[in-house]
Amino acid sequence: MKKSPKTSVDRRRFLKGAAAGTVATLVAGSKAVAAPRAAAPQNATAPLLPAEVDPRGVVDVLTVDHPGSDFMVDVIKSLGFEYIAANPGSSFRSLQESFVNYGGNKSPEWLTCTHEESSIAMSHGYAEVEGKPMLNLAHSTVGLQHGSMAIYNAYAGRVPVFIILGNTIDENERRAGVEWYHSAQDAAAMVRDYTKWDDTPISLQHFADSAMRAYRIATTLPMMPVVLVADSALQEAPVPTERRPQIPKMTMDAAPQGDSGSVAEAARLLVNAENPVIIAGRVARSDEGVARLAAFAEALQAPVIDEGGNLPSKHPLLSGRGVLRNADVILGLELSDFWGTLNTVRDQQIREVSTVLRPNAKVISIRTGETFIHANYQDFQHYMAADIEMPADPDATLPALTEAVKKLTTDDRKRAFQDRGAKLADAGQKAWDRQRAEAVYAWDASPISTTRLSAELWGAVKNEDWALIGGGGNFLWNYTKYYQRMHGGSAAGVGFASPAAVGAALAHRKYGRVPIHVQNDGDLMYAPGVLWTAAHHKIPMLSLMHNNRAYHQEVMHVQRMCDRHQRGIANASIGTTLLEPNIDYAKLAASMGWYSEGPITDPKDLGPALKRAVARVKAGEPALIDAVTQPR
Amino acid sequence: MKTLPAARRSLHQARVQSAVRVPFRITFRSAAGLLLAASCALFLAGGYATARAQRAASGNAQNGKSLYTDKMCAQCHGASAEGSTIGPKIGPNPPAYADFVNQIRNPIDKMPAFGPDSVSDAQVADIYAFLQSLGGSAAEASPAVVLAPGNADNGKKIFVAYGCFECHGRMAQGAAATGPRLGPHPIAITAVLQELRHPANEMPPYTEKTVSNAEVADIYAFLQSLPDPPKPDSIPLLSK
Repeated sequence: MKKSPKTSVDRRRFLKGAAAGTVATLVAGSKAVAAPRAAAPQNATAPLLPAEVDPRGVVDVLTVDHPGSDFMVDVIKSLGFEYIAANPGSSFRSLQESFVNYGGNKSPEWLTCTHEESSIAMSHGYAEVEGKPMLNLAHSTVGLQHGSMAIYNAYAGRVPVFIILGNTIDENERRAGVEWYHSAQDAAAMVRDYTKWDDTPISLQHFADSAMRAYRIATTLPMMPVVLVADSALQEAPVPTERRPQIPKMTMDAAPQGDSGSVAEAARLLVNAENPVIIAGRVARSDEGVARLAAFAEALQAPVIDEGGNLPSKHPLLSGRGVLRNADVILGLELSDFWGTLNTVRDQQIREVSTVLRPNAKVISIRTGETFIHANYQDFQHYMAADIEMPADPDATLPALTEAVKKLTTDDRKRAFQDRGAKLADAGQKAWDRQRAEAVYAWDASPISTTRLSAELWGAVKNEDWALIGGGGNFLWNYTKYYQRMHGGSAAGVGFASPAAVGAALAHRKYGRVPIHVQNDGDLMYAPGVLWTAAHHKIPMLSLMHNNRAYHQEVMHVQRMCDRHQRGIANASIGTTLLEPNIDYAKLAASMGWYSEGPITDPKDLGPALKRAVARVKAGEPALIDAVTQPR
Repeated sequence: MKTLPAARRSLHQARVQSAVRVPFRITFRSAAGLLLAASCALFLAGGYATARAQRAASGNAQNGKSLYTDKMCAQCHGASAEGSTIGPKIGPNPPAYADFVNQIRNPIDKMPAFGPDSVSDAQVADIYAFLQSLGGSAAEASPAVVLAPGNADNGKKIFVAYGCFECHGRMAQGAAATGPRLGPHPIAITAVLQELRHPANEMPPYTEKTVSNAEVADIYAFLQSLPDPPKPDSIPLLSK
């Protein structure tokens, strides 16, 4: 039956619910106020009521026992959210009250955030560790506008984020002035280009149904953000006593597996190849997934270019991109940019393309990324034609593919595979030795080299139960567990790293790990208030500032243009550096409740400072060490 | 012969003991030729003067042609040594033989090292002979440029002022994401000049309007002056 949005939420329906006994106090007013009206057109039908009667009347309702937002909280609790990240906003005031009182501020627990870009990026980081979304609340137009870049990052990074957006659809429910600025006809439209789904429920049952659907859509591959608009009137009106809304059953989708024919053909190509190469994007979602990828690579003894941080860092089949040059079969697993992995667009005046793909090489792709794309934003990357394309989850497909490879592997092929594996292991060790030999250059330099920075951090945490939640480890770092790395992506929108790290650290907290983060200075300055959120909610983490006092990527871009235009680079720092005054990040962090030290310029001072900071983190505090570094 | 401006030359002559003749071709080819691209940070550059003194290798060019493919040189440097986004152009007119051998055995960048066990000395000579056999045109040979030995102190300053450090680090140590190590023990100055004026990879071009030859010499002197680093085994954090 078709419903009118207006009739489901308007005041007359509210009065009907109140008359049924839900509302404790109801005093019906009788004073009629003549509202100014435009002259009726001559052919208009006669009004149903006399012109001097305001059909809305005046009703003085002061309290409600069981608002719709209580039911919304019941729905949200059924989805298993641990936390809500939000900056407060009046468009969801009823929901906020229901969460902290009716819901007891537990499961989910409210996190006070100072910016929607921070709160949504925190959810992004949390989801990368926990594999499921945190709840976000955003305040109508302005809150969503603040959070939109973080939503885009999550969309491009294929990370689930669940956003409830306050809004007031019925103009008669808005107070004059600000509430009109903070209302929209189609509130989620602004981010529809970079969310997977949204809805604007007009009843509580609709809200419950759509919440289930939204969660399922957000967490089905490719995972992405969703938005559910929670109308303020629906939040604040009482739950109807007749036809009470019900919480639907939740069923999650199984991950899609590659079809048997494509799997068999892929296995045939891989087994017969002399130089197969596996390029792994976001494949594993657990330690079990890591084991599945390792088992597959080992069955072929094929090199793995690991772009997704899947395999343990000392796995003998890990390889650099050099192996692509000789590859006759290339298997791409959930690559966000397969074409860009094989091709290079040179950043000179004329953008020439070159490829490492041999003319007769076969390309196989298994990915879910192509199964959902929008038109406008170009996050889907360059078109890539594969010889076999499986729109499937690699993690779910690998067991069948591994089995198919093993069945086709003869003894002769097995011996060839073993020879190949031995050579790869040897090459890998030599590559590691070369990196170690290179690490000594500028070891004692000031500003501190990034290699020294990473080595000192590794030295400070290697004996802890650590997890890197952003920034760079290098060849020294020994990743053995899935959770020790972040596994999402982003649209490279700056300002994301610091809140994402706080969200990730929160996810690690209950496991007692030591979360560590290499923080870029320019990124932190977008919304440093997230430091306060971490301190306020006692989220332990170590943030090591990679303080090169610049937006260094942009320095290089402007410098490139200076060179290309042959005008000298003297002015390349205008607008790209963070100097005069130097920002004191230790003081900034201390002002928001963090343990902090710095700025540190002598590399010899860095290790001891990091050890002191790790001790604080293990005691439950956030700690920041400000290291003045070389650009890269 | 292309020479430095008189004033600049005087300045250099005042601060150096002796001048060194460094033959160098500065030939700006077509845009298409310019942009034979190389994306990795490989810093071995080729394509400069045939007029320069270089030791003739006594290799077998025909054998070198096969080795060039078999040893996968072509995968990075192109089928005709013309360069790609991975590796620079190395022929015709390859770099000096000593530099060529040094780069193969002890690459200063991301190029994998090829030891004698994988490419013998004789095979290196054969490959070099192949590169020589490709034959540079007469137009590619150009007059030499006289570069005086530079001033390391000034080179250190302009290494920063001209933004070299942004990609290569303040001690020219290199960075994985942006640019290779340049020193100590830099590659031949001819190769440095070639890469500056006519980069084979992602490096932005530094023309003489931006960095004069004399300043390049100063930067080169700075790179030469860099001290050797400590041994990895002497650093506990780098223990295996």
